[in-house]
Amino acid sequence: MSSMVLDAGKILLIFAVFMQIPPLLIYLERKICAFIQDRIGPNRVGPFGILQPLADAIKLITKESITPKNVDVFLYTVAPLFVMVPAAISFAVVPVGADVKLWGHTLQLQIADFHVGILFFLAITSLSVYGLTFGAWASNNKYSLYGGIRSTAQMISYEVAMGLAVICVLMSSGTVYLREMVFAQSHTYFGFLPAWNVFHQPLAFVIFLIAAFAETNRLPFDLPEAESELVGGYHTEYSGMKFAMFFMGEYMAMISMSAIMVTLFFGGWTLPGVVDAHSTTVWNALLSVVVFGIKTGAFLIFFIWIRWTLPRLRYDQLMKLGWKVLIPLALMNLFFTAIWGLRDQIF
Amino acid sequence: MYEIMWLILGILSVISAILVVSRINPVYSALYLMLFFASVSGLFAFLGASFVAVTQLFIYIGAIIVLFLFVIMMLNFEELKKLQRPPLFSPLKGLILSLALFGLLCVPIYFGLPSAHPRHLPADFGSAKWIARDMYIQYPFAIELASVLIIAALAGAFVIARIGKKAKNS
Repeated sequence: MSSMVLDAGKILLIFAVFMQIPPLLIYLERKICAFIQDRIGPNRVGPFGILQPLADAIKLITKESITPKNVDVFLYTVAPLFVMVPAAISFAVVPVGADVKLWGHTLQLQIADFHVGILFFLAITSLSVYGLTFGAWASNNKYSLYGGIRSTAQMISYEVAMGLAVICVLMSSGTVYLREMVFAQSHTYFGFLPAWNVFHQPLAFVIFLIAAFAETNRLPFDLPEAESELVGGYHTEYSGMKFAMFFMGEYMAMISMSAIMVTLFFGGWTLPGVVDAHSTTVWNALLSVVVFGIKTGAFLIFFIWIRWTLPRLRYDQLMKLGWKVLIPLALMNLFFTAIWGLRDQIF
Repeated sequence: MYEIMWLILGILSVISAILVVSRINPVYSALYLMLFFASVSGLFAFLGASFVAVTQLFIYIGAIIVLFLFVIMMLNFEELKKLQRPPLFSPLKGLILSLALFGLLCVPIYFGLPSAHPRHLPADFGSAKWIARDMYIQYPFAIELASVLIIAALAGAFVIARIGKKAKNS
């Protein structure tokens, strides 16, 4: 019974921390953007403007929530949920830290270790396209619809490349369990180079990274909401909390994507010489969570950095990059990985 | 607990399947089709077939219904509302057909279908490794045949589209 209580506490804690990161990210986004554009950024609310997200949240909650006259009310209302919920669920398979022994129970710092591991993550993230599509269609606005159609085409195209990149990683590590994948990356080569998958599969990592930007609708792939041509894209007709949920969903998807990239390619919560993968002490577990947080944070800052550095792709360039560059490259990578895996039988 | 969840998912799948065909607005049909696939995926997960459950989510919900929606969003609904559906089946024929299907379903249930409750399954049943072993070591020929069939269908669709284009141009 007490192990069930511990599990419930673990799930609540992971979820609570996960929900606190988007406001922090919004603050970071505005500060980094200001730094890149040689401005100061938010600095009025609290010291260094640190309370700005709180002010934003109060503003968004108290704003009038307008539902336009000709929208399809049911789909218009549920669409933001379709963006936010999958982003939150997909985090469930990410291992966030080393095992820890508490009151005689060994606790895995991962909400669920499914038989299908990474495939579950891919399946759940593919659901978030519905939020954009339904929201766009239900808004009954031509700009919204354009945004929705663009996002549908974009997500389907890049999901293929992402899936193929993941298959290469699965083949070289021989497991779909994210937990085992992290353990497999915990040793070192030549005594100093960590055995991270990014060194086995550099091409798969680059493809996955580009596809991750496209899947989360971040610049340079934010065609669905291109402000200069589509007003606001799929969320043109949204206001108040419903708009905030779209916004939060985007940031939560970014967090999940960063966490999965760290787990797949950068050794998850392990760091040779700092975290002992097989120890179960509380101190070691805390250290591993910190390592995981720093790695994920680095990716999140990278996401923001790219957004304020690169211009947006044109739509035909986006499609060409997806179908004519990334997918052939991913297939080639898959082919060579397969040959390398079967080298003993072939040669 | 297990039986209750099983019952809820089963009822949900039947209701959503009925709603798919009874909605006039095709976007809602697609929404309920999605709900149907999600509940079927849940049923698979409860049977221990987690790989099949996830593929159900990934392929049917994540890709195929998205493509449906992509086409549906380009339709003109005002035209669609004017459309009078001709009755495909008379009620009598429909009744006979559904009774026949029901009878067909009753036969295996009556003659002892193995219980839906997974009792004596190995620990990794339904995992990716298990499926891969079955597919590529036990039945590689069937898999290859299926893939050839799919490529043939793809090429066929392409050829048909090209012929239509040529006829329009000339």
